[in-house]
Amino acid sequence: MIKRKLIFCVLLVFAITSGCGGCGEGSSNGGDDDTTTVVKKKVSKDMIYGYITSIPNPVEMSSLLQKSGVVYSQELLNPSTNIRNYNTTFQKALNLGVYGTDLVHMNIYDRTVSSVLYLKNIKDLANDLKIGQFFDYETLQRLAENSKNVDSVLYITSTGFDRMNNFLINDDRGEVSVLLGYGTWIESLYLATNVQRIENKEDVYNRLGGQQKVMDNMIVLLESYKDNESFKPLLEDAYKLKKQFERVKIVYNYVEPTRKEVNGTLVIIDNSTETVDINDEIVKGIKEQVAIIRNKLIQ
Amino acid sequence: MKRIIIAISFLIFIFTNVSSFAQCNDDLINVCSPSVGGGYTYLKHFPARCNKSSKDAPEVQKYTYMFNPGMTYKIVACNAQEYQGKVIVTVTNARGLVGTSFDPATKKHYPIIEFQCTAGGPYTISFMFEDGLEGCAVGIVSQKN
Repeated sequence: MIKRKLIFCVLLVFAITSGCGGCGEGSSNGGDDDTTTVVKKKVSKDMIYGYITSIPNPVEMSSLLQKSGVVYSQELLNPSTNIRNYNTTFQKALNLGVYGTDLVHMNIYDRTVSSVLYLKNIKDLANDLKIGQFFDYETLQRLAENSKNVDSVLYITSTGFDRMNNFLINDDRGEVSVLLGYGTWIESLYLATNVQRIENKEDVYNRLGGQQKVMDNMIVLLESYKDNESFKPLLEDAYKLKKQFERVKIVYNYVEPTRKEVNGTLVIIDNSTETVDINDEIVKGIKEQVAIIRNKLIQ
Repeated sequence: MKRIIIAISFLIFIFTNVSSFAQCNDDLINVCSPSVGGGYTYLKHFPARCNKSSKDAPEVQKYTYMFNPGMTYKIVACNAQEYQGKVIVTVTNARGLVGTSFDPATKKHYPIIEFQCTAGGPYTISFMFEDGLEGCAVGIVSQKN
């Protein structure tokens, strides 16, 4: 009798401890409430990790736009009221990414006070996706009251989104991470291609052309979930965008980098060069397809 | 029965705490971020966790990152102090080695790498630990304002 109790207890211990892969930051079953069927596919975590990190932080594009003399326009952002339209995990994940980019954009342009609505949207969507614990809403709300805190706001926002992604991948919800990343990137492209006037067009065009490589990685990520019905329309549109990016020609000239120590820091000077062949016509094609994708994501 | 309960409690305690990588990376980000310094904006962090492995062929953790031309980046890496391993960060691209934080000739570790990029594209940022020791670290990429 005691022996049976012991065996039962040991099995119980294994049952408890094997469910604790994500105990460090709280585990979750994802709370999937999609009306469409979501097929859970086992995709390599390492593969997802490897590609997810290649999706640029929207800070990079927005700060470039600002330095290039682009004037801020609130109308470009996804209206905060659109959140009431997002009812499925699919829509929430995509638009968590979209609003994340919008929040970064507003902060880069010192619109910290008016970003509070977007903060709330991100908090609500993250909570619905059971990753709200990584978004320090209270601290961000407090910091948003003062435009001098932009650096801190950007830091907390960016680290929050990185932590969400790390958790999602470890929690076997890589598809949510991919959707979040796609929403982030598409919104960043939308902002870059829909500004009214750019004083320094060359830098922005070159940066846009360079997104050709991000596009390739995005396709790999989306294709990882191609058996998921919800991903199929995303992929169809992504292939069309890829065709536009393929018109960009990038030529590299490799030269060995220079390395030197400066005050204890290893400084690497990349002596290689690249030429990005992109023009108004190509940008127009990218812009049109990005707008189609983005407007479907946010509706 | 009392002994069984104590034994189970002990076993649960052991199994839930035996993982070497509990929360070291999340705490590390905030510990490491001051190393980025002023004049730079945080972009991304990369958790690095490796078991003890062969000294000659240590475990490596790799990530892809897109660097942009015309930008200067800073890569800092911080070790979790409770682990012996000292992290080595290596940046490569399709054409080979761009730079590494460890100089095997002098055995010197550079805590900070500054990368002045002129040709953009996908780069691989790899993390391993010196001599294949068990290690936990975080790498942070930031861009110069």
